[in-house]
Amino acid sequence: MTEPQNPASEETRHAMPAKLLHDLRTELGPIIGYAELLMELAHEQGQECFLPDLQNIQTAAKNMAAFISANFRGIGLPETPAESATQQAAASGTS
Amino acid sequence: MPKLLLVEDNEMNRDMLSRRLQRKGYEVVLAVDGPSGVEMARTHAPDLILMDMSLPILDGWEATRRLKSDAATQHIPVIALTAHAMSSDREKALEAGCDEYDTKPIELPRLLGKIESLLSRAAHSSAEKPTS
Repeated sequence: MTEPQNPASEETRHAMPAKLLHDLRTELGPIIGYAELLMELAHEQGQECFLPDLQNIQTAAKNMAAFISANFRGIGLPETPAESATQQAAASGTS
Repeated sequence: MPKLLLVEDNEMNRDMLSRRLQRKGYEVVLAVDGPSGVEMARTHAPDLILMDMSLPILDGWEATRRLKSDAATQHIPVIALTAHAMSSDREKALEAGCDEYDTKPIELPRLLGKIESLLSRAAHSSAEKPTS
């Protein structure tokens, strides 16, 4: 027989991983964002030689974000609707 | 040129996002915490506010509640930006009065779509208001 879940303990159980996920995502934001900004600038200024490396930085950071989300989902942390849409777009190669 | 108010305490996120938005043709004014965000919304009258939820002094939920309870700022669309993971965070942001919600790391095309949609909705509803 399954014991009824206590909402308070469920919240407490999620509090620490939720904060860690929040902090990791916050730090990944500038890595992805600056890489994309530099890709735009490199393209505009005819510095295409930098694009492959910048693309690698962006891809690695996005992979890290997906890896973090997947692992946190594995411990039962629910994803947000926006995150779900992003994951679906990434899976279909449209992001 | 639409004016956006970006309320964000993380310096790198603030710099990166404001520069990317400026390159897309927006004027961007910046605030670094909840109280200055509320004050700048009153003094700068932006067309839209991008509100980080985890802010010092006054968090984004309370700042949005104050903006939405003030006649001078309640019409300004607010997009909540958060790196919080819980699905309840979206409901919490909407309950506070946010008009939209997006998660970090920011996907710029997705965020731009939400900005454009809210700006166009706001322009449409202000055009419908009777002039008295």
